[in-house]
Amino acid sequence: MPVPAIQAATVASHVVRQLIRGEKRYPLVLMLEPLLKCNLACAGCGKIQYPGHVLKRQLSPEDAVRAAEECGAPMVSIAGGEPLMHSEIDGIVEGLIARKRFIYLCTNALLLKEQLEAGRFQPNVRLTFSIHLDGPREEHDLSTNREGCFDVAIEAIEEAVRRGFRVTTNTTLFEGAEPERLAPLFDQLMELGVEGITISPGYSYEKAPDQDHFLARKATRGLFSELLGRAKKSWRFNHSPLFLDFLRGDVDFECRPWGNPTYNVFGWQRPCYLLQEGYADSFAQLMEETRWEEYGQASGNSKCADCMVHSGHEASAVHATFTTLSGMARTVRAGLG
Amino acid sequence: MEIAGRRFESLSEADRDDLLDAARDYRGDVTIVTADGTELTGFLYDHDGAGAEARVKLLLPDGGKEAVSVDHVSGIGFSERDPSGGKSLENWQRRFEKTRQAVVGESD
Repeated sequence: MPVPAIQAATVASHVVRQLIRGEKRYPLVLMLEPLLKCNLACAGCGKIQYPGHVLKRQLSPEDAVRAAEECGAPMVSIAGGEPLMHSEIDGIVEGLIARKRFIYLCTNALLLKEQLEAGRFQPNVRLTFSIHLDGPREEHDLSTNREGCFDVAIEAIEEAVRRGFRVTTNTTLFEGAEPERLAPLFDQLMELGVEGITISPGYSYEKAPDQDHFLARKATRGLFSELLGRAKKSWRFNHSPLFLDFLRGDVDFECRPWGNPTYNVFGWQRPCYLLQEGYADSFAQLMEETRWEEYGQASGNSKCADCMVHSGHEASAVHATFTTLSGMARTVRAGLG
Repeated sequence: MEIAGRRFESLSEADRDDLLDAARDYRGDVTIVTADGTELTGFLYDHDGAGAEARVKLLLPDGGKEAVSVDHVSGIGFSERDPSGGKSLENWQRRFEKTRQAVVGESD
């Protein structure tokens, strides 16, 4: 069950249009954070440490749709915070679908089953639930700071798949992750009918409670090389083939932070989803006034030195797919299996 | 320097700039005092511009946003608690380890 053809075609035509127009920097996925409040306090997350009044703030559906139109990216990843705690998340989803965006709603799934049963969402090719699962039961419950989270997430996946929703998972890997323990989990997810698995090394947020287990670049490549070396044909990853090569260390990409611009209650976040170095009032201002040359591994910025996360580097992989012969050939080979 | 719960006034330019840097990194609310005695309390989410154009931006508890020229800042206060400075992780890890030891002990 690969990504639907309409989604692949939409993304491809968006990229080709940008290239024809000679755009060097263009967005691919809008990272929308409609609220920063969460019902978990994960060890590796630096997103939710704010005063109460900030955590109570929500973007309205109108704000969300305006941001999507301003930026023009064909895909929207709704993150946060926990989007299902947003009182108007259904309105946001409906608004974005009406604007023909493909949505990945990233959730810890604690509230998903009850909201599906309440009819808050309807299956649509443009809506995918991306369920947070940081490993098998013990690792996930430890990472999320709460026992029982894994079982709730698995139940929610079953319910969503049964109701005909598109479902993917996202797994962030930290130091100490054991590839041999992830393999049975990935088998289980495929058996449950998950469309694809997203994997990413954790980013060392300055405000994350646990600072001791983030991966350095070399360790990231070693871990993903081992994990992907064990990959079965049945495992489907929700990534471009070149991004998987990048995680393995077979190719190198510079970050394209503008590929995944972030919009939240403060505005357009500079320069990326992970760093908070100021905010722009408009998308145009973000693109024009951010000093992009100060970010990415080549810049020498220490905050970027070990970062290999998908926001930023997946956009580079997609760009390389369309602009290099080797990238195109690699993608075609992967498509042919 | 521990800044949670502290208030600094009659600042030199250098101290003001250092404290505004700290405020930008702080995850609790801050109170900005201006030369005319006005006080604004909120979350400082941005510090942009340079020289006479430099300003800080606050998200206020009522949802409004305010920008204050850095040149006008004469004092800075920090909320009692920094939300990123808790002990929940350590507490959780202790509890988790205890549970795991108990489970391993039972299966041995």
